This record gives sequence, structure tokens and C-alpha cells, in this order.
Amino acid sequence: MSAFSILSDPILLAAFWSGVVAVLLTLLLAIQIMVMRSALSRRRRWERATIGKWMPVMAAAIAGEEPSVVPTLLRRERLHFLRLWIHLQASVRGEAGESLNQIAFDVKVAEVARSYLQRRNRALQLLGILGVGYLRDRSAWSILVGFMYSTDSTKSIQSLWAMMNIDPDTAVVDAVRFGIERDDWALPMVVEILGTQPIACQLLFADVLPTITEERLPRAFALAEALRIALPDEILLPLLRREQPEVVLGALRLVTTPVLAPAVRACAKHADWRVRVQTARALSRIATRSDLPLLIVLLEDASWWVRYRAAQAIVGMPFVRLDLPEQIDAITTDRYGREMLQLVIAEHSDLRHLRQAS
Amino acid sequence: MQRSVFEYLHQLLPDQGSVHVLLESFPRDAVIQATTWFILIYFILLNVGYLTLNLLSLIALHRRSQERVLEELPQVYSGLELPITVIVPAFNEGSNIASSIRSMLQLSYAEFEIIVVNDGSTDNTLEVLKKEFVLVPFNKSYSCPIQTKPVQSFLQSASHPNLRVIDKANGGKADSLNAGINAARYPLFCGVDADSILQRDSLHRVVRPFLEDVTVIATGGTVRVANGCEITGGFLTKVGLPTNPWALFQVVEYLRAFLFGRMGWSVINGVLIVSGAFGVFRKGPVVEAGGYRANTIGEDMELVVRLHRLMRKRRQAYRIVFVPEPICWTEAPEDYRTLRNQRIRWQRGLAESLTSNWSLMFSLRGGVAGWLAFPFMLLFELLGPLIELSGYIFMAIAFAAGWISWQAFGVFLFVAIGLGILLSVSGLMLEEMAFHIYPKWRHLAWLALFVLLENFGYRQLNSYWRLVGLYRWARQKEATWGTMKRKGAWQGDT
Repeated sequence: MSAFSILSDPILLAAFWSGVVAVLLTLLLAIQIMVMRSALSRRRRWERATIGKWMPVMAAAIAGEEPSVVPTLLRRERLHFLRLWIHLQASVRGEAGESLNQIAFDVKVAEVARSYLQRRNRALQLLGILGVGYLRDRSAWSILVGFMYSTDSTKSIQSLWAMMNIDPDTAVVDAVRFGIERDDWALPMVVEILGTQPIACQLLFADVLPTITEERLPRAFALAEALRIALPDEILLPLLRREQPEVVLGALRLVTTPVLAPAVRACAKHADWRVRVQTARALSRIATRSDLPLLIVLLEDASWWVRYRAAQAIVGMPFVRLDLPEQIDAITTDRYGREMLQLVIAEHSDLRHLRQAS
Repeated sequence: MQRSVFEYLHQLLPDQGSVHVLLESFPRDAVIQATTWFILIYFILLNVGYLTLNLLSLIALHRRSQERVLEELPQVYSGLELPITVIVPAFNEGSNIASSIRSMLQLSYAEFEIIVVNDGSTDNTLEVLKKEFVLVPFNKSYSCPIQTKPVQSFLQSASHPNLRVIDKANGGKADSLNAGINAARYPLFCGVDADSILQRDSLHRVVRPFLEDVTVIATGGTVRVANGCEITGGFLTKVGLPTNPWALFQVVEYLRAFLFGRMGWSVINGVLIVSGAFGVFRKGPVVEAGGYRANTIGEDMELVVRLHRLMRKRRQAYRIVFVPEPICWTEAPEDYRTLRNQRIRWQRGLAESLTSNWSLMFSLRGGVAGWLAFPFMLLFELLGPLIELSGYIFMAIAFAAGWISWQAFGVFLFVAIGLGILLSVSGLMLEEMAFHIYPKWRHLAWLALFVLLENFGYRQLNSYWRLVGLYRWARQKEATWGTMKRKGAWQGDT
């Protein structure tokens, strides 16, 4: 036997047993894969059977027909029933949803949904949240509040959705507050939830905005813009005068009235190019004839995007005619400004031609 | 009594003996011992690293699968989805460009535009596009933050307002992507290969991380092997397994590489590569980083490593995320030569990406990318083939020369192959746990067989090809893309 094998028995032993562990783990994984596949096959069979049995009943309910007999919900059908029912609920509105709720009450699936909230399995909890939300089950309120405060983004925002379904007047206050505070909640989802209570949101935003910290303002602005909330001028005005560029450009995006024009004009000389871009955009919404010189200044800005937005604002002004080169010359003789005007004019005419061509 | 290497050197120092003396007193056993230690430790570290990534992936995938009930709900667009520019570089794609673009136009997403960049094709690519999509000249002056080869014309489709074509001088894929980035109107862009097959909701899935976290600057999607699948109208309609053994090996490889390799790194923000076949980026950071580097063959990975380096240097919060759902399918090579060339090219790309961003490694602000991912890639992916093959060769020679016992040699093979099989099986398990897209039991059986067979020749062959790639990179030999033999029946007019 070589010197190595004599001296390295501990190494060999350690390596050998590592190999043995690897083989055992491989076998375990292989068995696990087969078990998972068998379970999946079984689940799919039950799912097909459940859908085959309940889809006609639910379809009839959606169509407004009273089902003659509502079958009994078997224990092994509960999960697949709830999934099918939730999927259909998400696809319908109004009376169809109420009819589906009636089916759910008839087969006592509300208790199933509530029981899922108590389980540790996260997938079942999510199903339960959706279930009690569509059923507007008030008895689940306290559990939903607990979920909403959790750090689990998905569970928390879905719980908020469910609470807004159950009692929107109560839930909207938390919805606005957490919608602004929680960066881990996807903005589209928050907008979808808050969008169901536009008037309440308008009032709450007006109350909340002056009090929230500066780091939260950009998100609040994004929400307000997405929800098309028209904030009072007296709230926007001080925000337009803040130091932080992110706050100013966020506020500029919400400007819709000429009352704020002086504050908007003051932003045209801001050091941050993003603020100047939003200034040009805001002016495109509220500008009057007297703002043309200011837009021309922005048209000659060093930043391409500022020039682009300024050109769009100028071209969009109904009292400005730019059909002829002399008319463009009258606006600006700056080379980059002229090029940008020509670009925007070409974009507008190309779009017209394209529409005609198609 | 065996002497250690150090004892030997100490005794030799005052004595400047002859070569003969040196050879006679060469500490063979110490060297063998040290080498064997090194090889074993290397293999153990390598596999412990992969197993750790596997564990991270397992936790992340399990969590994602719990949210499947939400993904099954009808998707409603809120209007807040970030619009995307899909950039499709095209060079001599005349035979399949029309079908590819037609299927991309059918992607289900709120707002997106497609920019095809005709990179100086010498075939009829541009003529096909003009004819199929009614292209008309479009006046476009745009900012060029990234230098590219000259753009000859901009064309807009009259039949599809969200389709534009840039015709430019040939500059390569990276240059084409940069031209597309310059012309992109939207804050996100997505580079897609012309032969990639996406799913209708691919954009929706790959954009989701951007909506959930504003610090996300890039996402990559899982690329799966399309060979053996049914494609209709440019979309995958039925999943199947290839019958070609080369392609089957790659199915197993892709499962391992994507499902636990990249998924694991994604959990700790250490993803160093977003596949060029399908990846989404925020335009701003990419433009600030200078766009894709045109003088590298692995431009996709190089950009991502550079983004890590620059964001870390600036101490800006960011994440690069991997989306594990199968959302992009691509045809894998089915012949030896094409596969070989591909792997050689990939290894060169890896070398170029790492060496052009050295300063990320162990940098003070490097974080996971600099202290874990980069060294891991360097040691186990870049140098891995060299060490792995050297290990096999050394052990075989040592056994043949009687320096090590048959037990030692056997144990080495047992550990090396056993751990390799374990890693491949764990990739298969993750696929079964999270996606189970191969529906039939016989699919599973075939995959299991190839998981085993992969470790008896294919992996070693792969390591050899990668070693060739490493050698060619070191020699700075001219690198080319080569041409791939396409077999996909869907690559034609539909």
C-alpha cells in the first residue's frame, strides 16, 4: 500500500463518508421527487373532478340562474373549490359576485376560509385571506389586522385588500397611511385598493400630506398622481418651495391649476434638470400666452429632456403656429432649440400620417 | 518517516546540490499529499457552495410557490405598469425575423414598444421587415448618450405603431443593444434575442420585481430549452423533452444553472449574470454605466458585473433580481461542434467580464457581489475547469504510478461524481417543487437518467471546452460568435 494511503486514512475516511452522504441525499431527493410527482398527479385528478362538479353550478350562478340542487362539498374538494371560486370572483363584478357568495354560504365555505387563516401554511393563509375578503366576513377582521401589520409584504397587502372589501370606510384610513409608508407594497396594488374609495382618499391625502416626513413624500406624490387626486393649492404651494428636488418635482407632477403658475415658473431655474423637466410639463398643462418666453428659455436648456418637454409644451400651445421656418425662427434661433422644435413637430406630423396610413 | 515540504527545504538551503541530488530528494509524498488535500478541499468547497445556493433557492422557491394562488388570478392592468422597450438585435435573421417579431407583438403587457436593430445585415432582413410590417421613414433626432456605429435610418411601422426599426452599420450585438437603448422611449428596456421564444405574460412576470421594489435595476428570467417543445404562432404551446442527447444534457444543465445557481445568488443580491436571451434593465443606470461594452464577447455578464461595481462604488441601494418562472425558451445546440463553440465562447465571456471589473473583488464596499459572488465565479467557474480537469488527470496519473492507492483514487471519483449527481438531482427537485413543467412520468425518467449520465463524461467534456475557452482568452485569440445550426421548425413564416 502506498505511503499516502497509510498516512491519509482520516482524509480518505472523511472523503468516503462525504460521498456516502451525497449518495444518500441523492436517493432521498429522488424519492422526494417521486413522492411530489405522485402527490401532484393526485391533486390534479381531484382538481379536475372538483372543477367538473362545481363549474356548472358556479357558471349558472354567474349567469343569474338559480341552481336546482347545490351539491355537498366534500372535504377533499374544499381547497380546489375555494381556488376555483376565488378565480371566478376575481373575474366578475356586481350581482355575479353576490351569486357566487351565496353558493359559498350554502356550502359553508366561509368556515373553511376562516380556518385557513389559522393555519401555519402560508399558501392556505393567502387563500383564506382572499376568501374572507370576497365573502366580506367581518368575523375575520381582527386576524386580518394582525396580518396587515406583519412584515410579510404579500400577506399584509392582501389583508388590506380584504379589509377594504369588508369595511372600506374603516380600512381606508390605514390603507392611505400604510400605502404611503410601506415601500414593500407594490404601487399598482396600492392604487388598485385605494382606487375603490376615491373621495375618501382625496380627503385623507389632503390631511396626511402636510404631516408626513420628507422621505415619504415622493411615494405619496406617486400615489396621488396615480389616483388622480387633485390636492388643494394651499397644500401644494409650500411643497413647490421646498429645497429637496424630489419633493419639488413630485409636487410639480400634481399641478393642474393656473393658480400655482407663479410657483411653477420659479422652478424653471432650478439646478436639478429633473425639476426643470417637470416644470416644462407642468407649464404644458397650465401655461398662458405670457409663459411662452419662459418656455423658450427652457427650450434652450442644456439638458436634452428639458428641451424636449419644453418643445412639446410650445408645439401644444393652440396660439403658437409653427408651420413655416420663419415662425420657428421667431421662436428661437438657438440651434439645439430649433432642432428640438423640428423633432417634436415631425413627431406630431408622423403620428398624423401613421394614423392616416393605418 | 515522511518529511514535510518545509523540513525538506530547510535542509536543502545551505546545500546547493546538483540536479541529481534534487531529484533524489524530491519530496514526492509531501507534494502528493498537498495536492490531494487541495483537490479534495476544492471539491468540497465547490459543492458546499453550490449546496448553500441550493438551500437558498429552495427557501425562495418555496415562498414563491405559496403565492401561486395570486398568480392564477386574472391579471388586471392598473396603468401603472412601467412601460418597456423591447430591443431585438438582428443580424442576418431574414428567415425568422418576421415570425419572431409577430409573436413579440402579441405579448400581453400594458404598454411596450419593440425596436428591431438591423445590425448591417447582408441578407434580406431589412427587406423582410419593410415588407411584413409596412415600414416608413421616421424623422428621429435623439440623444446619443452611448456611442454606437452610425445609424443609417429610423423606420416606423405603419401597421404596428409600437414597432420601430433602426438600420445601422454593423457593430455587433452589444453595439446594437446600445443603439436600441439610445432610441428607447421608456424607463425599462429588455434585450431579447431574435430567436428567443417568450410566453405571452413574460414581460408581466419579469417586470414584477421592479414594481415591488424601487431599488431593482435589473431582472433576469429563466431560460429553458425549447428543443422538443411544440411552438405555434411563435409561442410555446406544449412542453416536451428533446430526443437529441446533447440537448437533453443541456436541459439538466439549465435547470441546475438557473434554478439554484442564479436563484440562490438572487436571494443575497449576488447575481452576476442576466442572460442575454432575456433580461430587463432600468435604462438610467445602464446609460450611466456606459451601456454594453462592444469589445467583449460576454457583453451581458460584463454589464451586470459593471453595474454591481458602479452601484457599490456610489453606495447606492440597488438589487439585481432573478425571476425563476420559465419565461424564455431558446433552441439549444444539438451537435457537438456548435455546443463546443458555444461553451468556449461563454467561458471567454466570463473571463472578460471578470477581468474587466477586477476592482469589484474584495473591494471595501463590494458587499455580497464583491466578497462572495465574484471570488466564487473566479475560483469555481473561471478557474474551475482548470482545477477540475487537473484533479482528474493528477489522480489518474498518481494511481497509475502507484503514488496513491486504489482506495484513494476510488474515493476521489466517488466524491466528485457523487456530489455532481447530487447537485443535478437537486436542480431537478427544485423544478418539480416549483414548476413541474414536464408533465409526464417518462419525462421525469429521462431527466433522471441524464442527470446520472451527465456526470460520466458530459460534465468533464464541458470542463475541457471551458478550459479551451480559458486558454483562448489567455492567448487573446480572436473571438467570433460563429453560426448556430438551427433546427427549430417554428423558425419560419407562420
